Amino acid sequence: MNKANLINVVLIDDNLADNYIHRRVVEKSGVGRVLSDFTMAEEALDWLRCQTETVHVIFLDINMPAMDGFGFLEQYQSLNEANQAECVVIFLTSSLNERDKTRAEEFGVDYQYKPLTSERFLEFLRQKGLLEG
Amino acid sequence: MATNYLQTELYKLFKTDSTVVDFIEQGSLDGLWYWDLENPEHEWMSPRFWLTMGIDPSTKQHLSAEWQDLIHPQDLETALSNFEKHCADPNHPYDQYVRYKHVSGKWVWVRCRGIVLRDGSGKPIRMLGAHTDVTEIMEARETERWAKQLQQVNEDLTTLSYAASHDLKAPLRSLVGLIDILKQEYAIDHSADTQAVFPLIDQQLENMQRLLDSVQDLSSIESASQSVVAKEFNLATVVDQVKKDLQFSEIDQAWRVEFNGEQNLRGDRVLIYRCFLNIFQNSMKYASPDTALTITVQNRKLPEGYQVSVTDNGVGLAKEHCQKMFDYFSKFHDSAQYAGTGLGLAIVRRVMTLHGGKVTASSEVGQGMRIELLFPVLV
Repeated sequence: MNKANLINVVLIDDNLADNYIHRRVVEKSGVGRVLSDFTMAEEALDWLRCQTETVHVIFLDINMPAMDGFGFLEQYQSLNEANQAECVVIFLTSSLNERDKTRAEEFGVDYQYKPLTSERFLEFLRQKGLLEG
Repeated sequence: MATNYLQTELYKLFKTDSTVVDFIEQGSLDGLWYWDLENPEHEWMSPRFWLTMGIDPSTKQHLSAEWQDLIHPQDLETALSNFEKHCADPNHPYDQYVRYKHVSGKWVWVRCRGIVLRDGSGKPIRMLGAHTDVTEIMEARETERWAKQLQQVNEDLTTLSYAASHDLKAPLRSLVGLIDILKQEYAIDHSADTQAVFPLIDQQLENMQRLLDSVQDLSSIESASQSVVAKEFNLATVVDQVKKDLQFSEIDQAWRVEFNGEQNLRGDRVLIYRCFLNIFQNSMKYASPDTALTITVQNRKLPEGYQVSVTDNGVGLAKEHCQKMFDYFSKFHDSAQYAGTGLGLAIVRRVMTLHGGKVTASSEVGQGMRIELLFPVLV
């Protein structure tokens, strides 16, 4: 698979270890690459605003200092629509309470439990039509 | 308005018949005092005044110094300040709650009211005062305040344990991921240590996860206890749901539900579900290795309530541990063989307590286990 066909992923999680794990999952899968990772949601927003390359998947943590995952989503969804049309956001979380579940559903965002594994990553990509087979 | 003849008569009696004054002093007051402001060391205190503090009136000389030693210093200040204000302006009431030291050492709360009597020129010459013992009321208030404080502390602790168990999961999940990476990288390394250590790490992580889940479960039950929703639910439906969720296999296990008669109970369906879930999980975990597991669920009406019993043919437990197994973190089996948190059955007891019911168990080693839930019958 050449670089142009790779799935571009952005990681947003205040936990460095999780970003490390997820970066590895993406890279080992052979179908994707991590464009960038962030420990602060605001920084990710700033980066996304001036990003020219297509982002296919955003891994998003829920509980983060300052702006949390939901805060990020609100801001992100008001960014330009062209970018979003091709991009799928997925919550990665260690535990989810009922309120968070409801909110995630309201945003229309799927969630997966950490740590994401290669198998679940590939399955997710197929589900979202980002990968064939 | 014309004065009622009875009032006129009573006021006359006050002047002529001392038994009337005595009755009021005895029957409606807890002490009366009359103070000579021209000779302020002299003050007459009624017998009841001293008896309220557990003091023998005959030991007292009717000197104002006698009570000033017994009143709480802070309250004495309040009383003196009110006294001065009342002398200067009769509209300022002499009325305050003060503490006196009882001979037992306890404080007696007294509402102390008084009025200054003046001569023709308006100069204060005497003061008449009355005591009412309000200790019970003040103590009840204090108890109420404590209860509220305790409730707050309890709520805070529940929130804390929920938050702690929730937040501890994040680093735990990260560890699981990091160790997975190590496992992949070292899979080729077949050294004895690697082979032994990875499964042990996995087991520890699993234990931790289970523990945090249970603590979170328990604390969410605690917070739900503020608002238990008692609705009618069908016992058989709940049991069926648990059976389905536990993926109970009918091939090598038998599950006999023998319900008859009334099967509708009142309670919080979600909590009751958790209660049965934990009981059945317990039975499945401690199934006998030699015999196919059979769980029997029965109901019956007893004079003291509605009983649901769950009986299994598992490994059982020594009789003396049966009641202790409902305590938090209680474990009686080899942890290497039976992984667990010791919180599952604690959840059962908590749920039953919240419903005004109780849970008991009877067993012998190797004789299976019988758990009885008793729900109060709400008519």
